[in-house]
Amino acid sequence: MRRQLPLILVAVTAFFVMAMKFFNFGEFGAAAIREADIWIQVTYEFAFLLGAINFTRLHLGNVSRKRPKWVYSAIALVAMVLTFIITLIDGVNGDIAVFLYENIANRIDSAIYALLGFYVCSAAYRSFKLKNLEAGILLVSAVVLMLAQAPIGDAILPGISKVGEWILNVPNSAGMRGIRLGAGIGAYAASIRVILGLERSWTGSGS
Amino acid sequence: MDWEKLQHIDIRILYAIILLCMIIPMFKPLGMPVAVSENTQKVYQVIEDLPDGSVIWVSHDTGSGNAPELNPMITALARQAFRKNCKLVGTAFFSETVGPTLLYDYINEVAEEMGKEYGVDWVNLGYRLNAEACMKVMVDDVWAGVGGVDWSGTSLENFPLMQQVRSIRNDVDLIFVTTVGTPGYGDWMAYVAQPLNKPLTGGASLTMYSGVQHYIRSGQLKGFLGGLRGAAEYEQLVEHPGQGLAGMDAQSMGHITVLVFLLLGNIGYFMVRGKNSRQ
Repeated sequence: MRRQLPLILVAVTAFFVMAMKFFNFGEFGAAAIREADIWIQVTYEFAFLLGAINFTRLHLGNVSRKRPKWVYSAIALVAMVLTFIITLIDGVNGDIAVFLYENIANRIDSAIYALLGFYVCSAAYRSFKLKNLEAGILLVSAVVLMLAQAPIGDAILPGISKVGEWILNVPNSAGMRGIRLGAGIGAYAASIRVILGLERSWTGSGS
Repeated sequence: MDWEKLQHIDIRILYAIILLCMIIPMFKPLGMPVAVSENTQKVYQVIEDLPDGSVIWVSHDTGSGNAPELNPMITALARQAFRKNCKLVGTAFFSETVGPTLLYDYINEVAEEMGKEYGVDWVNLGYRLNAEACMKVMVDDVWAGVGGVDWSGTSLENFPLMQQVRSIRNDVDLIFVTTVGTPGYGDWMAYVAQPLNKPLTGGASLTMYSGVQHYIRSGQLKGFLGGLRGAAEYEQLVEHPGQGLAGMDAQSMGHITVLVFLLLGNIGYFMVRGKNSRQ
C-alpha cells in the first residue's frame, strides 16, 4: 500500500485537474481549479520542509561519519540553522535577516555566476578547435555572435550585428524549435508514464 | 617555436587577462556607439505609444546572477515611463529578496531624480509565492493577490495609486517583464497578457532569446531587450547612459579576449597537427 497509495493519488489528481481544465464544468470547474491552485501552494511549502529534512540528514551523515570534505557539510548545517533561527526571531523582513540575504547569500550567488565567464573563456580556449566541418560551423557562429553582441564587433566589421541577428533568428530558431518539440513530446510521454503508474522511480521503489 | 605551448597557456594567466580586460574599461570607458536593434526599438516604441499617465505593470523576475544585465532595463524603463507621467506597479516573482529589493532601489533612484513619489507614482508589491496562482488572482483583484500589502507590509490603503489600480484587467495598460526563466513570458502570456489582450514587453538574458523569439514573431511579445546589449540600446534610446552602456565596453573587451585566445589555441592546434603529419 505504501507504494500504491502515491501512484493512486497522482493518477486521481492528474485526471481530475485535466478534466477540470479541458472540459467546461461551469462554476464548479472554476472553483475546483482555484482550490487546486491553493493546494499547489500548500504542497510547495511541504516540499521546502522535505528539502530541509533531506539536507539535514545528508550533511549530518557526512559530519558524523567524517566523510571526505565533511567540514563543508558542517558549515552548510551551521549556516542553515543560524539563518533559520535569526529569521524566526528577527522576521523575514528583519534587518539582520535582510542583511544576511543581501550581503552574504546574494553576493555569493553573484560571485558564482560571475565565475561562469572565466570558465566559458577557458573552456572555449581549450576545446574549441577547428577539427571538422561541424566544429567549424560552431566556431564561426560563436565568433560572429560574440562580435555581434559587443559594440567593438561593428567597429571592426561593420554590419556584423546584422549577421549575428540573422544567426539568432534563422538557424538558431530552427534548431531551437526542433529541440523544444522533442522536449515537449518527451515531457508528455514521461507524464503519461507517471500518471499511468508505469514510471515509478520517483516513489523511491527504483523501478 | 614550441607550438604545443600555445595550446596550453597557464589558465591563471588567461583569467588574469580577462579580469584586467573587463575591469579597465569600467574605469576608462571607450565610449563606442551601440547600434539599436529592431527588437529594442519595438520595446521603446510600444511604451512611447502609450497615452500619458498610463499604468505600466513591471515585474523584475530576477535573481542576483542575472541582475547586472537586467537592472539597467528597469532604470531605463522608469526613466521613459516617468517622463510620460506613467505610473509603475511592480512585482518580483523569482527571488524573495533580490527582485523586490532591486526593483525598489532602481526605480527609487530614478523617481527621486525626477521628483516622483512612492505610493502616488509607483508602488512595489514585491514577491509572492507561486507566481502562477498570484497572477490569476491579480487579473481581477490585485489587492487580494498580494494580500492587501506592498513589499514592506504597508497596507495598500495608504497609496493613492493603488486606489486606482484594483485589477490588471481594468486598470493596467502594459506589462513589462524582465525574467530569468520561470516565471517567464509563457506564464505572463497565458494568464495575463493574452486573456486580457494587454501588450507584453520586456527583456531577459540573451541566452533566452531562442526561447522567446517565436513570441516576438507572433506579436505576442512586443520587442525584446536581449541581455546587457539590449539594456545599453534601450539606455541609448531614452538618451540617458547608465550601467548598460558602461558595461558594453567591458563586454567588448571580454569578447575580444576570448576571441584572441580562441585564435591562439587554434593556431597552436594546426601547427602541431601539421608538424605531426610531416613527421
